[in-house]
Amino acid sequence: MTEQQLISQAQQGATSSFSQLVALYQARLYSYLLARCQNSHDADDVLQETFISAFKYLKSYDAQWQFSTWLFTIARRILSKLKVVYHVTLDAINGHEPVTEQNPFELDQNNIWRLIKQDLTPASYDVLWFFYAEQASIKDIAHIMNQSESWVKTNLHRSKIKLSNNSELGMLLEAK
Amino acid sequence: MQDKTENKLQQDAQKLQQMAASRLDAMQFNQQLEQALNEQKNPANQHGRLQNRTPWLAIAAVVTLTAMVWLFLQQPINTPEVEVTTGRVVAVEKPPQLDWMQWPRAVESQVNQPLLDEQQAIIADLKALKTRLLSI
Repeated sequence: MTEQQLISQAQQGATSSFSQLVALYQARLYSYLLARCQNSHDADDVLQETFISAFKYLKSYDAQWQFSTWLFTIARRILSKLKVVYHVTLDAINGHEPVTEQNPFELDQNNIWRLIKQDLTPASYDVLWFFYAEQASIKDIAHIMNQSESWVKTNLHRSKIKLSNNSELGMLLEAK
Repeated sequence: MQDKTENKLQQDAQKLQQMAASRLDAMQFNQQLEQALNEQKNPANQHGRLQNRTPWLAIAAVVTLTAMVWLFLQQPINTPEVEVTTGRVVAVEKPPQLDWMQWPRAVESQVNQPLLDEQQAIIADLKALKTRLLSI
């Protein structure tokens, strides 16, 4: 069954078709969200909220855009509303370091995206992610970011210059 | 940007996606989402119950408001008019005139009446006090 057929069925309320769509896109969305959230719990919440919103507003999906573009647009909107909640634990009250699960995104020290995140603004990171990881077009990226195409091109160009001047990145590539 | 960097960006993105996929499998995300979607669709949840109650709350509000307006209209808003007929004083009450324009004024006079009464009483007391002081 094609993606368009799945979308049509899901638009008529078929949860099973929507589940298949979720299976297609969940890892792509989650890998992006893990990098953009403070911790994995926030990423879990945003991911779930994104798919619930997508299911709720599926009838308003415009087929002129790719389904992934639409999902990433929703995810970014939810991400922007995400409030940082500080959990006060018993450990923290007792003066110990709170035991929090480390973001799996941070675990791979040699991953280039972890390095990029430290060097770029969130918006620039997003543009680079959508361009290289999602291989989205400039038009689609502009739609996701709610910006003009020229803004995306300029941002991409500046990010590339910034990365080429990053010595740590050069060492990482040399080590490879 | 060099091809080497672009390749590395794509390869590492794939690595992250694989890691994300295995993590989603481990936490059984699909089942969690399915449950959340069913809760959204099921009207028996709390949010749904509140939504079902909304029309009834609206009807109750309309009924209460109508009753209040009706009670308000029942109150006499006219003042007795004194008519002199052949040596007798007859108080004639006119039937309430429900002029929409006069409503705010009528309400205002009704609200202010106790205050005006009290004001008159204070003035009378002061006058009495003044005459008493002058007589000393």
